[in-house]
Amino acid sequence: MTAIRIAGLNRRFGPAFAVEGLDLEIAAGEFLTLLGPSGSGKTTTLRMLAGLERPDSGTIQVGGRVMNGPGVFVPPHKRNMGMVFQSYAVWPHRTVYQNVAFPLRVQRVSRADEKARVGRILDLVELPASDFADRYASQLSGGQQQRVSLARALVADPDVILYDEPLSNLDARLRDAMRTLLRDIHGRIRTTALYVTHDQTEAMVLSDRVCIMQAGRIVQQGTPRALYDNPSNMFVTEFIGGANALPIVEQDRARQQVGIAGGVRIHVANWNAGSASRLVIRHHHVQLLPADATACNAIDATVRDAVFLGDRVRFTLQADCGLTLIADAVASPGLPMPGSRIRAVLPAALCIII
Amino acid sequence: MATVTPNLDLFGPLPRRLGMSVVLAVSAALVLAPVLAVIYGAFRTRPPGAPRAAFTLAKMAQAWGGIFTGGWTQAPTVNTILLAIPVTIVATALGVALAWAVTRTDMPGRRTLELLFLVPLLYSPLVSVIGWTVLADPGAGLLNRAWAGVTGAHAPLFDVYSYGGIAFVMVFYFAPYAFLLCAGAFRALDSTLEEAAAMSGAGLLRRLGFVTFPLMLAGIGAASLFIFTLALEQFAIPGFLGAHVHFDTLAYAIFERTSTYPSDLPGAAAAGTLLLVLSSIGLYAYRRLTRHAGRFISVTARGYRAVPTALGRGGMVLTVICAALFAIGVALPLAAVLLRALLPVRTASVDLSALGFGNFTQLFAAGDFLLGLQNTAWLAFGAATICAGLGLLIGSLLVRRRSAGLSALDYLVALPIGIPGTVFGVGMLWAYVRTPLYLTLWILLLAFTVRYLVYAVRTVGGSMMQIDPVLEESAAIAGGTPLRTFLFVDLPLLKPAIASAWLLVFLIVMREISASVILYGADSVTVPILTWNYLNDGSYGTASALAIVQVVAVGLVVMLLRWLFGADIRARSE
Repeated sequence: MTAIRIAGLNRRFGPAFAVEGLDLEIAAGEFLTLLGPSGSGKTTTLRMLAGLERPDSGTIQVGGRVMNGPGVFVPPHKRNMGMVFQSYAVWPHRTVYQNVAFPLRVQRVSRADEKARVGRILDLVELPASDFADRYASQLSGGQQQRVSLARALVADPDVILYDEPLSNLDARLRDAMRTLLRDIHGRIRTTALYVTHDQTEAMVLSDRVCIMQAGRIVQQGTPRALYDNPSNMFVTEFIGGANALPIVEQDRARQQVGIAGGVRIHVANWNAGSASRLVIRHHHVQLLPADATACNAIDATVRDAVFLGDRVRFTLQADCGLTLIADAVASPGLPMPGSRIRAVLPAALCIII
Repeated sequence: MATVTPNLDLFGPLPRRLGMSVVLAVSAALVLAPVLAVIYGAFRTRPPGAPRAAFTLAKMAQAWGGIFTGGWTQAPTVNTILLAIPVTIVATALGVALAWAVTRTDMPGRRTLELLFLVPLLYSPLVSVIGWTVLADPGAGLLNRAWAGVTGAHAPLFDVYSYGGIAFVMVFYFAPYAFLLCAGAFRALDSTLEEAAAMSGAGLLRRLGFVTFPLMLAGIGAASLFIFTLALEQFAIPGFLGAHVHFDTLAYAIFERTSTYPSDLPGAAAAGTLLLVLSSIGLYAYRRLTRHAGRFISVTARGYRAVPTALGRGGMVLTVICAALFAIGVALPLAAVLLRALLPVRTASVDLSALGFGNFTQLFAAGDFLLGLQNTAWLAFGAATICAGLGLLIGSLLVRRRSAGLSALDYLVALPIGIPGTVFGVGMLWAYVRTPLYLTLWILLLAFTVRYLVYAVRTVGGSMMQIDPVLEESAAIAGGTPLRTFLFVDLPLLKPAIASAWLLVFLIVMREISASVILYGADSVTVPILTWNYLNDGSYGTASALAIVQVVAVGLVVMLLRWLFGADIRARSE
């Protein structure tokens, strides 16, 4: 069942398109993330869904109800959505309880019911009411404020919950904890969610589906796994994971081979892309063999640099054909030293053609 | 040079400490002299320098006891309070509503309206007085004439010489100040706080009531207390309009004691202590409120776009209301002044064929016009330049260096804010009457510098606070001396603030009347004093012409500074 249907959405700021011809469907209970760099239009899309920003054209339907369309605009307070803001937006002059109870007050829920629901939701975000209900926002840490913001967004059982980069103001450790909490909560409540972030880890941990945005458009969408394994262009490749990208100078489709610099030929197992301009391989997929080993898809190279990163070692390889490659290997004894000759193998099944 | 911490150590330790002591001593003498003189004078039998002067409690007893026993201070005290409180409430309410409309909504034309609402800051209260006299004099006022013509009624529609009339004129004169102060506070409000309420299901009114106004309460309270002190000390509006119906306020009564024969300077000083206490109460409350303001206003450091509340069709209605308020409060009186300046005589009906520049020729021919213009220009440029220079020095030092001496200086500089203009005038008079400064322009220059320095210090200091010390540190690391660093890094960044401070003091001095009316002499008349005197002589045409000259001159200077240096009176950080 489709919960949200967005079609032909456009929004300009001055002459530039912030969002251009965007189509998007979100299923009921789905957790969907818009992932992209700043200025890619992801926040504008979310704000238009919230009703905080008006599209220039396009339609937005939620649960079959038209929110934006020709002559139709439902204001944000009538959309029954919850939203968690990057700045938390916890009202500093109200207590935690007053903040969280506000959506229920607006709906004229009975006081007894209100108290029970606020208590339950504060437990869910791990801010027990007995300790936190009467505190003011100024007495809370950033992480606690963000939990209040989350509780306030969830308390009235919204049809949709919107997250506008909710973790980017938190430090790394808190971000980890909040990410886990969010994943747990959504595993339980299954409310349809739209999440906006520029952090690929957040997107991968939380999402059922990720849409990569660039310059106001969705360039690719799919499960986190599908995007990682089969990026459709360099932008997506770079944005999720990063990889070596080697220019293709000749292609032999029949034999599933491509030629890269220096006449080196690489066999490729999966060749999906129509045109082939680059051979892409993730850093940790490059295998390092001794200089005298025999193997397919091998490139002779010299180790220029080796950087110890704790769990792994990152090698910069100077290939004889002139290319530079980056390879990650699990840190272990016996790895090659800078200056040593090696053979870098690009396994055929792991090569991606873009 | 050993240190790279925030650093403005221009003079080295020993000379600095010595210099600081001298600066403190001189400032203390300059600031405290008029205050102490007022208090001292209130306990004297006769003015300074008079023979057989002695100490007495009689004047204080008359002034303070008179409030309750029907003495001469009773009616002025009651009138002052009765006027200040409702004017404060209404002017603040108006200012808050306009500030909200301009800063937080998508009302069409809001940028234009914002500039228009600030226009009254450019002219003296005498412009309002003249304008409303021309419009609403019970007999000859144009509005009342038109009303009588249409309805045949004898009673005037609106009598400006009345409690209601005075309050009305004051409300429209002070509302722009409330607007200016509140607009700054509204802008600092993070719009996601309102958006969070919208996403919680709250409509516009609910959002305003639950989030916006409670968060603005400290800012609104501070603005209202500021207006309250201005209303208490306001001299020209209730002074001129009230004199017609013997409705005196304290500020005017103090002036009258000094200017009518036989003058009673000790009595004026005693009444001055009364007004001083009233205004100190307002100032004390203002200080208390603004000290804790940080708790209420939340400004996120991260750049966010202030998103205006969408009003839809209601926006146009709001535009019409705002434009109407501007028309009534500003455009109408200004037009009336211009009309009166072009009319040869006060006529019951406007005879457009009689329009001409007679008043202007008469004004330009008057002997003291050029003198007044010269004096005012000299005073305004002088005080503005001195205040901007000292403000730059003190303001930047205050932000970067914390020391007991500087804190004391900060306090001293701010002290005169609470002293009403007429009281300040009486104090200056008493303190300097036996010096060669008396009745010269110098005493006015000194009075204005001491009284308004605080605005320059605050403006520059506020801007300095926004300069990250890292910018100075990096210049120091690169080998810049403290002085070089200051000139290369801070000064260019402070330029708009310095220009704004200059403009602010310039504007205040251009329209200052309450202290100058007590301190001026035949050779030191100013434009506001001349206007005041023309008005009291009944020369409305000449007074109007002079008011127009002043508005045009001030307007030109404002535009020039804005164009040259980006000066903006809105930059004021209070």
